[in-house]
Amino acid sequence: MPANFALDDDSVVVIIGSGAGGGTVSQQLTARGIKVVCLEAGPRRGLGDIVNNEPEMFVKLSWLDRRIGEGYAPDGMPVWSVKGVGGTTTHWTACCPRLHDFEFKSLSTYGELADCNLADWPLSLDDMAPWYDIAEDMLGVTGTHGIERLPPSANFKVMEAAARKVGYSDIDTYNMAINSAPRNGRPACLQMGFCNSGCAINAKWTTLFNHIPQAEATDYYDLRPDSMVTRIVTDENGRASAVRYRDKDGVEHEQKARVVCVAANVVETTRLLLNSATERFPNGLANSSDQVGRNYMRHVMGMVFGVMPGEVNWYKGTTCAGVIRDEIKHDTSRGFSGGFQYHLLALGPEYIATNLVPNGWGKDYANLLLDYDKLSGVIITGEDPPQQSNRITLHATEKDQHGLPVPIVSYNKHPNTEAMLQYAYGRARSMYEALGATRTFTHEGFGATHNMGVCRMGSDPATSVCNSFGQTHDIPNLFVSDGSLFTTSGSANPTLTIISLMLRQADYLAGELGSGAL
Amino acid sequence: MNITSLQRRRMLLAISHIALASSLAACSDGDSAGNAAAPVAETDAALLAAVAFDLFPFAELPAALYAQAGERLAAAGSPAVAEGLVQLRAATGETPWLELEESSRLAALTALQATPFFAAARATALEVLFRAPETFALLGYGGSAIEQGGYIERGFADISWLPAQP
Repeated sequence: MPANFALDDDSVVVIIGSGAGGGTVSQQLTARGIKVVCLEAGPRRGLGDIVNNEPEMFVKLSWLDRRIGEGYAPDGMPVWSVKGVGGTTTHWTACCPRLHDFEFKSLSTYGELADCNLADWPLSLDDMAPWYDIAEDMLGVTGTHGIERLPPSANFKVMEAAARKVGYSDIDTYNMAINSAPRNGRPACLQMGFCNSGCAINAKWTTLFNHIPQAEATDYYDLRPDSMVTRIVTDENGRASAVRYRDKDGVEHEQKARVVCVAANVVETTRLLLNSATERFPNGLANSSDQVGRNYMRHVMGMVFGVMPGEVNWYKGTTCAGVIRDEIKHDTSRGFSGGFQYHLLALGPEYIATNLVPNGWGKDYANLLLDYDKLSGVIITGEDPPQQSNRITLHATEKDQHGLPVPIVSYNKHPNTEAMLQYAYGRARSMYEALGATRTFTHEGFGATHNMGVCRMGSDPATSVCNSFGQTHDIPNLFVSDGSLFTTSGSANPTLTIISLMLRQADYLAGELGSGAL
Repeated sequence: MNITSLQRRRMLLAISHIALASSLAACSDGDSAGNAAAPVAETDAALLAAVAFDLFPFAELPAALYAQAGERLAAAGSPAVAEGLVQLRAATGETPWLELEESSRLAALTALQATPFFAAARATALEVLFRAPETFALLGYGGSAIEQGGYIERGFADISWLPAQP
């Protein structure tokens, strides 16, 4: 039964956000009988709200409040995230790789990179393995724990054949949190496509239809959708004591808290910490290191498309069920540090017509678009080195509809990123050409969907924001509970790692609450 | 398939007829002060429909789709579009846009490629054309398949030209 806790109940854990991070901590704490109030900025949607129509779902799901992009971050939409219960687990593609051993140790492995803020994680793959195990089983990740992989689509077959032509061999339909067979009350994938629009049949895992209802089945979960948090309140002892938020009608409330977990995705997590500054914490909460908002990483990202000799019909099938892992390694003979993966990609006609050739038009372009059915594609996801200057800040004067300062996302590509991208473009073009592609195209893509690093974990409070449990160094009862924690980005899609970190955080938090340490 | 000059000519004629008819209809049942400008708006919509066609010329698509793009752009009433119309007309002199040779139209559009007008015209044409079922059919795009049980039984793994894998 969903609970209803009083605003002045100071024994509750307040979790801000209900996506991969907030949803997981919610489920884990409530399962242990810990009272949770979860404040979610967006509305709660049901399965019936999900339709296979990209433009409609884009408007319905996306976080569209004003954000400023600077440098290489597209202005207007520097980050593509979701506003609603379930957060970005509604629009994610459900790719679930683990980070690799060397990616937890980038500084030790790569050495210093110019103008970078590389560091080793305060955790190793060995530390994370048991949590990854639980997460994979929980999400039903294909290719793990004996769970069958998804069947190969025509688009996958083209990618695989092309990749083998240039000598790649570590290729399969990936580790996906999309059911290949019915499991845990969810059906098998029907190969509909539209994974980014939310899965209309619930074959794709999301906190919205899994962790959230599981939490509500306990008597310990009070989920409040349409609740925009504006401030974390700290008391005279410098501890987080309450959270202020505005409901759907703009009425402000203050919820008392024993512990606060911020799981609002990097832009909002940064904004909230910075905007909660006090006399005691003049640079914002948990920011004595001046690292909050810095080291923003978004993965090296680019797409490559080939016009193949025959029909592919790439729109049929699970959007991203395919991976080439051969380039996930540290090998500087390629001209850069760190690794990248290719995964399978398909896009709708409007996106392709808009972007295949920037500003393309005219007769030749129209003829090219008639080959839509012959397109095949991959997306590059590579390690993005942390830089102090890639950061999220608050606009000095401009305010949004809640009266909050508008966030500025400032991002520029490091030379290592540019070198990796050009190499990855070249290899993918050769791959499609080797299989007979008549033309190939590259496209650098939309606002970032993988957002990491603005509250990095580390053992030294002078250079990091949180310890390995996501507990802030400055305020013991304030936790960061999303991808903001990543010390470095690695090359893996981040969600599985976020969920695994949160399983570990929730276990620690429950222990600290139980022992009275918090 | 490449579009022929004759096909282009026919399409432009059809677009201009549809745009004209719909502007007249809007004129006869409206009563707002804005109708004083109706004859101009009608020409604008037809011209903009022809621009949409020159941007993405598909002989197989219904002219009504291009007319719709022209109308939407004209109705948006943006300063960028108004300025673009002035520039297009200035570039082509006395001859009405729809009677210009293709080469003259394309030259005038090319000259405006970097303008906000061009960006708006392209974005609107893309939105109208590439969300239409007729375009989906032309491109061989199946779109939503929820109603048919997805593509799992409808060829998601089919590929005819790929050489057998070792």
